[in-house]
Amino acid sequence: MSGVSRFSRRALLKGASATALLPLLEADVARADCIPAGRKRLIVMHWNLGVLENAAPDLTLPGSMSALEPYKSDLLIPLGLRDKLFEAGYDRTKFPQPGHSHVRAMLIAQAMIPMVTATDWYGSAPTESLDYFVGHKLQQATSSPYPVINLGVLFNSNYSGCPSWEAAQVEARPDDDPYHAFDQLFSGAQMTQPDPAIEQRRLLRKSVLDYVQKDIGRFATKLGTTDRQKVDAHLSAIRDIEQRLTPQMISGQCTTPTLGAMYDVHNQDNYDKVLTAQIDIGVAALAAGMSQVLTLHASSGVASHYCPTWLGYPSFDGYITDAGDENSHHAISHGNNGPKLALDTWFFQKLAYLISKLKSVPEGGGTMFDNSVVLVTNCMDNGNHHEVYNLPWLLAGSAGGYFKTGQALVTTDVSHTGVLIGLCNAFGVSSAGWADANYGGELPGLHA
Amino acid sequence: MNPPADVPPVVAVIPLHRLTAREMSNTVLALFGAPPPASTPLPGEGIGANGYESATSIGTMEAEAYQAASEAVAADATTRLPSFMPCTPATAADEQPCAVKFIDTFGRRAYRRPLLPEESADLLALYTNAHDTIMLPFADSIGAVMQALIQSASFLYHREIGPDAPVQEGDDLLLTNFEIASRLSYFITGGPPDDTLLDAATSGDLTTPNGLNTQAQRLAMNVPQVAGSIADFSRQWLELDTTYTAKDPMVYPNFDSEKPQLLPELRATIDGVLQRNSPLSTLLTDPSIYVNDATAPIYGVPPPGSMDLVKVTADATQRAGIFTQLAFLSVQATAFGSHPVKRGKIIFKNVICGVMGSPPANVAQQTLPRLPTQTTRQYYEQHEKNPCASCHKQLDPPGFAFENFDGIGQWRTTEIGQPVDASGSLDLPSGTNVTFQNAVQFMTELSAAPDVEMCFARQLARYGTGLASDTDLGTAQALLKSTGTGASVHDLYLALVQSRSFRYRKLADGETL
Repeated sequence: MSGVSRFSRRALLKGASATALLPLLEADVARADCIPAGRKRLIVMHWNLGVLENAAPDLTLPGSMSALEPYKSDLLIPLGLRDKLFEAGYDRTKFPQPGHSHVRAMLIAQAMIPMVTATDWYGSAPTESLDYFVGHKLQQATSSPYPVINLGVLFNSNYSGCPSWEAAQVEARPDDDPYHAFDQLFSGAQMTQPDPAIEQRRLLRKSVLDYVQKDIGRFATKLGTTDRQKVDAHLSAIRDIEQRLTPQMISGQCTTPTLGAMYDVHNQDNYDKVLTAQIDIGVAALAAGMSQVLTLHASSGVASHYCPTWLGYPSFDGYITDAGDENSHHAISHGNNGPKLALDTWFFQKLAYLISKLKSVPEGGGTMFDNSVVLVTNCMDNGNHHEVYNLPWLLAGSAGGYFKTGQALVTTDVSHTGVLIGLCNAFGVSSAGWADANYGGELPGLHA
Repeated sequence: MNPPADVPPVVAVIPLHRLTAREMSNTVLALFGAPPPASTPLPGEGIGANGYESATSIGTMEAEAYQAASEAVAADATTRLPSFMPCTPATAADEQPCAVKFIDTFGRRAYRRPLLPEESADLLALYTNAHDTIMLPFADSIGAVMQALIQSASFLYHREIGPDAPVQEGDDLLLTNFEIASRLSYFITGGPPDDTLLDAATSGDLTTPNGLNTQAQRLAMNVPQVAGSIADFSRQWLELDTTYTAKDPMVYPNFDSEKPQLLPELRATIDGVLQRNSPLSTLLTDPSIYVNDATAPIYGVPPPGSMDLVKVTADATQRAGIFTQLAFLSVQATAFGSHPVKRGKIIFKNVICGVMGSPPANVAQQTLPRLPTQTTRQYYEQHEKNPCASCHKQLDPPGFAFENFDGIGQWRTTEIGQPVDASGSLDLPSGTNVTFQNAVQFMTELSAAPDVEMCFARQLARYGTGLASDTDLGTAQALLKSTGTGASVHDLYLALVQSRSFRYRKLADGETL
């Protein structure tokens, strides 16, 4: 594809401003021979506002989960998870339903730090979240360019809580623009001939970032502990950006996704298209060895800023609620009826699509899915309760045989940290110090 | 209920904040003479615990956005170098000395304090590397310095300590001259300190109340700029973000052309109130409106024949102040009609600082279908019949006052053929009860209530100093004591900068001086 290097050059020369010119991909995954062998992958996918139905103890799937029927033997569904850690630090007299604020805590395995004042019902993370914790550890071993490929849909325009934290107190909000994500991940990856103008640009960026690092280092000395943590995370973000300036040559005959026609990524009507594109880009980036961790933020935590128009629920249907407008994802969730089931069904279909995509990448004698695990999280039980028990989480994939798939694991009120710790173990990453051990270790029954 | 006893202003740790998108944009405009290009969007911010925007950390996403913005700003600025360079090199030999001069003068404006010697040296080394090693021309090498300045922590965060150490007074730290200069400037103008203010900081004038007042009054002479800041405060105070306000085109077919006028009308109104040095109560009583050809029909006044906003006096039996203007009435509404709960909640929570009881446990929020025979009020009055009443009896009545206005603020006397009922009553935190037949009467009553002035002062304290909603009372009391009741909006706004909460902070854990 001669087009790719042309776009790369323009993107590198003009920075992000060039992305608006890029046609969007109809992504397809990279070819098998570019895949670094034997790497495990963690994919975290979350949507929120709960789900109405979950699997039965015998793994019978309800109608809204029927898209997962072909992958039943790949599923591991722990029933009865509860975020006890979050509850312990949460003041229900301030805001009775903890579900929304829980979105920021669900990938954390320690007590949250209350923010600034006691009236605050959010809270800030004391550590990296699971995806960044595992991602950083794996990155140290493989020197892949990104700790996490962090992608989302309609996320940053109406922020309502992010579960990913790249450091203590520093949220890692996703890139919710597939054009931009594509540009950043794939442009420049195929160049074999260094272009002198691009090389000059690279050296300049490096020189500027070197100064910025010195400045941040000096600045940090004047701060208290909490602020210094934030600035340290800023510094490591700058180091990450600088590290990526070293040209990333994708080895062998690896191909980047195909480019296609452009659309408005912040229009709710294109929600399905954007999530599909992000899944395609994310899987292609994993296949190309950009990272071993992919996080897909398939909805925001409050989700009152869009209506599932793509499922036939227009913004104005004549109903009024105090839970956001009309047919918003949030308002529909409080209804817990037909529209909610339709929305749940759609999210499970996207999950099935993700699994099919992972299974379409040949790796070793099988597919990339064999070495992967998808963790699906949700900040609530169902949409109306907004509670943090009976969390409808699930795993898909065994991560190279670590997890005992093909089962529902029946528990009652066990800490969600048992799943997070299990995932650390599956990747050979010690959770000591990261997870609060008072809430137990790996959930028994997960491991094959 | 008796008025709360006097409490001292709270002096708090000031957590590190980065520039908000508005501050960043104004800063780039002030430094480079042009705003950041729209093609490189700046990181936005969330709403902090006290209800006001709060930009805290910089993660990878934000850092990348700042990198892209810095490159775009520098690329644009290098095409206009003479307009802000202190020198123009005539020969190659002049270039380096000119770069040195640029770094010190421009660096002071960018960092809002004098540069440390090691900062100047490192920036010059960056220039030299760009020019001599990467072989960039003079302008692009200066551009490299601009990029570095914009991405620096010293530029992006509010913490401009400067050469002097903060002075300890008991448990409190008096902010340094340069910290006060920035805090003052961003509060009053929304942008960075100008050279005069930085000079005053250099002379050490800003740590005294008089010196601070002189500069505050000087900055406040630029009324449109202050109006911009008070409009920014008001947008957050009244939760008037219009970004996602959309209307059903079947019900309100022209809203897309009306929407861009909503916040400009608010700003124009505040500008008018400042120009006349009017008291706060004017914001709740003045029938002046600002219309153009798109919005005049909503108010039922003749189009002025202009797309610029023109001041008109509305029917004073219908309109009284900003709560009867289009921004509040359109944003606090649904896509197809009015929304008494949204409107009432703003009045209750943000205008009178009412405190709501806890909702009863495990009440499921419900979506009840609206019957075609129900008026909006009749539909929402169902709240009174179920457990929701414990909160909604406080939230809904102040919202019913605006039932004469539909979802975009058009006057109506009937809804689905039935007369509109906009009457109600509200208990104020001070214990006074106000009753009203309509919005104009409600606003007249509220404008005379001390609760509103106190709540305004508290909100201002949260916005201007970052204080939490349960620690702002002493600051508000001190502010009102200094201005007296019935003060002008202008005086109320400026009085905050004299507050101990504005000028002092506490030492943070782990911080050494």
